[in-house]
Amino acid sequence: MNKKSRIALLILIILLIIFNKSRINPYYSQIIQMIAINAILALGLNLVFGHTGQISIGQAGFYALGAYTSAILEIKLNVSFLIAWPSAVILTCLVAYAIGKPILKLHGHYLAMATIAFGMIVESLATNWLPVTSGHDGIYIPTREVLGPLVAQNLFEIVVISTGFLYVVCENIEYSRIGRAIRSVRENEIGASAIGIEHSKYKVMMFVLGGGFSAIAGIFYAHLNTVITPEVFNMHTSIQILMIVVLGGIGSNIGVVMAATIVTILPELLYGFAGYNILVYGVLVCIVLVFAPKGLFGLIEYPKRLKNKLFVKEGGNGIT
Amino acid sequence: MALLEITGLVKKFGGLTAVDHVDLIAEKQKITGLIGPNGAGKTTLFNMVGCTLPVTEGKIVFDGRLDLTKMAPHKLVYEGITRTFQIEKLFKKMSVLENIMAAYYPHTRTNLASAILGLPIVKREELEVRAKAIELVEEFGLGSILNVLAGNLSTGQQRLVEIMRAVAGKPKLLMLDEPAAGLNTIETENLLIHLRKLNENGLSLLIIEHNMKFMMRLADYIYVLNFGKLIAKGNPSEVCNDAEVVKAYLGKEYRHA
Amino acid sequence: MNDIALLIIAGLSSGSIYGIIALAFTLIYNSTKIVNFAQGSLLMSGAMFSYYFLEYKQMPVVLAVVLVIVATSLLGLLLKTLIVDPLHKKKAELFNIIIATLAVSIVLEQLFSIFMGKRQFRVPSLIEGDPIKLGGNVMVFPETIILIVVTAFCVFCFWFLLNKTALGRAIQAIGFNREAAKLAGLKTSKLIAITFMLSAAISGIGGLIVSPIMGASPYMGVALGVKGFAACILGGMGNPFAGFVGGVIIGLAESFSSFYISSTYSPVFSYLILLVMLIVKPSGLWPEKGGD
Repeated sequence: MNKKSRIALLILIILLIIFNKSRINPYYSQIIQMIAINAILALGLNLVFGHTGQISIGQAGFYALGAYTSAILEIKLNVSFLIAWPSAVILTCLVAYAIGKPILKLHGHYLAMATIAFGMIVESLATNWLPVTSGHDGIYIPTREVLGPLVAQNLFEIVVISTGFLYVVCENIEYSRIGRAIRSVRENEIGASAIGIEHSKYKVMMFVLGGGFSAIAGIFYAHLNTVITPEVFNMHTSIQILMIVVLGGIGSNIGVVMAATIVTILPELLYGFAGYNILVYGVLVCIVLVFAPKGLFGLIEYPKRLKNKLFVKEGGNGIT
Repeated sequence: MALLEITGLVKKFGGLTAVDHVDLIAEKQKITGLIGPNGAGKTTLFNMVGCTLPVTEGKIVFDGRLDLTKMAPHKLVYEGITRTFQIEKLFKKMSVLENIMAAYYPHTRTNLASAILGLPIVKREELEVRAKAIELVEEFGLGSILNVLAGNLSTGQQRLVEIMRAVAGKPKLLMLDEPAAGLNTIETENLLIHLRKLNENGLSLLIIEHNMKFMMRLADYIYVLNFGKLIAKGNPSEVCNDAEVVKAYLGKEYRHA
Repeated sequence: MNDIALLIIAGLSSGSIYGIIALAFTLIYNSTKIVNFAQGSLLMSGAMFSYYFLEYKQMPVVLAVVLVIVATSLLGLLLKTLIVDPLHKKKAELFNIIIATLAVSIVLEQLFSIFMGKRQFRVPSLIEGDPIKLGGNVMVFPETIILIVVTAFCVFCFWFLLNKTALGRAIQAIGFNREAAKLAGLKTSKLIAITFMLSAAISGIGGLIVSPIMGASPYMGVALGVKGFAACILGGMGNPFAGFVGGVIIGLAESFSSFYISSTYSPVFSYLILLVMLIVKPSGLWPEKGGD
């Protein structure tokens, strides 16, 4: 990520913050928040699937873990959010590690199924573990009370800045030896091993990071939406996150963010046709997979990258 | 001096013995060949040395001190052993440059935390690795294909890229599995020249090859395997004229001219 | 004793549902090595079509059954021509095929939900009748018996088809090595189309026999698909019986765990079995020949 991109990102964030503070349109602010959450989810999955090549159809499980853990700690155990939030992320990462280590030895549809099973288990727990999660009734999070007026009033800013930060993290990883290592794992595990890259270590590492990203998204969702119910964290959500990554361009950080933006905005633009948006994504994904596997933004990305002066740009850095 | 010493190596798959008590020594700075008909167990042996296949019995010792029967495959590079594969394992959607840069992984240090924080050392390392990779590719005379995606290369070029990837880290021993397979005459000559040059610069080679002529011109010492057993060993002309070898490859009636 | 009998019947019945989906999975997998993640949605389509023809249009049973099977087979054919073929031509990676079939399942879900509504629909049983007494206090609904019997029959037919007919052997040959099969003169594209249609037809039959018990709803496909696949993993992808047995094991595990341990956590239990099975022995209880 070069200087120009960084400055552009900074300006974007500042503009968004000014927009929000001015209260021109609180409804738009809400949409931006949702875009941010979807972007974080997509970036997380992109790390696991786009860069490292490990399919995961269970991201909603980590999303749920982040949301519910923070909510339960705050509401049921009266823990300060300052402790609850990091704890939720750490717990989710630990779960990701525990699950990731065994299942990332799997490949293909076995791996896909294992991630689905994980997601289903978390969803079932959220739905059925009534004493802890209140099942379908959900958990209500009085954000102002829990965070205090200062933080609650600046939640938008926190979310937007965090998203920018996480985006930069993804870019930084991509353009480093770690990024190259995980792409090598994606391309050819055995080949990677032959040049010294311990593929299992990197698969788990990225899986944990991806889980962490989803947890952060979950925490934001819980506090922005003020209520969480199990339906939000089901396999459909996992599939939608996957669709965003595919549409945006597997492996392209900017692509998945843009796809997240479109996917979040589309239902709003369609008014009466709101029910059709998911149908449209499904069809689009099929079209993309058949005709443009690099994703919608993979195509736009390519010419831009050739002109780019990034330090490892000549020859591309392997991202397709 | 023995760089790689294999003693009594056995591999059994259930009832089938794929490698049957093989002893083999790859001398330092020499080119050692391993030949034999299809299914003789050559690649199986390689996979055991390369730690991707567990050993049933036997010892594999590297550099007089390292027991390879207990190692994880990704650690080999750090000890100075690299290999190429019969079916290449290139990173097809990455450019040649990127493939070679990846091979410098063991010689770089930055960890995840530095990467995430985008510390200046990351960029410095990237530039260093890039320079080294370009230098290596140009040494091999392939500067023109630096930016081509590895998947789009010809077989000969892919072989060379895999070899470049394997020698990027200046290993002590390079193991090659059928490097000449599927190459045309020009590509084979080219390969021969590159391998000889690597050897002259101090690299020890252990090569599996099917192509007798190629092996005769390259190897200092040859081991012949058939049905998992060692049936002959010696310098090229000794092996060529060995009755057992001739029978194994060509049938009883043929007499080598 | 009654309880156990009831639990066994419940287990057999849900097991049959999973089993029939497993059957459909196995068929496509055997011939193309693809795992069709849209399988559950094909069953859902069968169920929704069942509602449409049987209840909404009040058609005679035989006609409705035929229409349901034809409709789902056509869906299978569309799936093959529009999605699988182009991806195969492009030598798409395995994950792309998985994602594409997932997308298809979402599309099907949304289509039915838009055209027919999101709620649960009631589908009448194929055979009207009172519950049958099996001795003691054990009562079984005719739908349940149909479910179990038809599934077992389909499993048998499939085994027969795959192993005892030329068509079946051809299908398996394609699965082992498509290129070789083509060279040997088999019309691979046509045979694969037949496979997809058969697989969809089984799902259609599945929809017919499941919907009287579970109702029909656009969102029923996903969870059933996952459990059906779990049945394949448990039993092994190699042969029809394995999937059926896998399904029955899961069904029984569910009904027994739900009764003896806790009904609320029973779903967790099934997915946990799946996860453990994947980690420990992904090739299943009856691994297919040639390993996985």
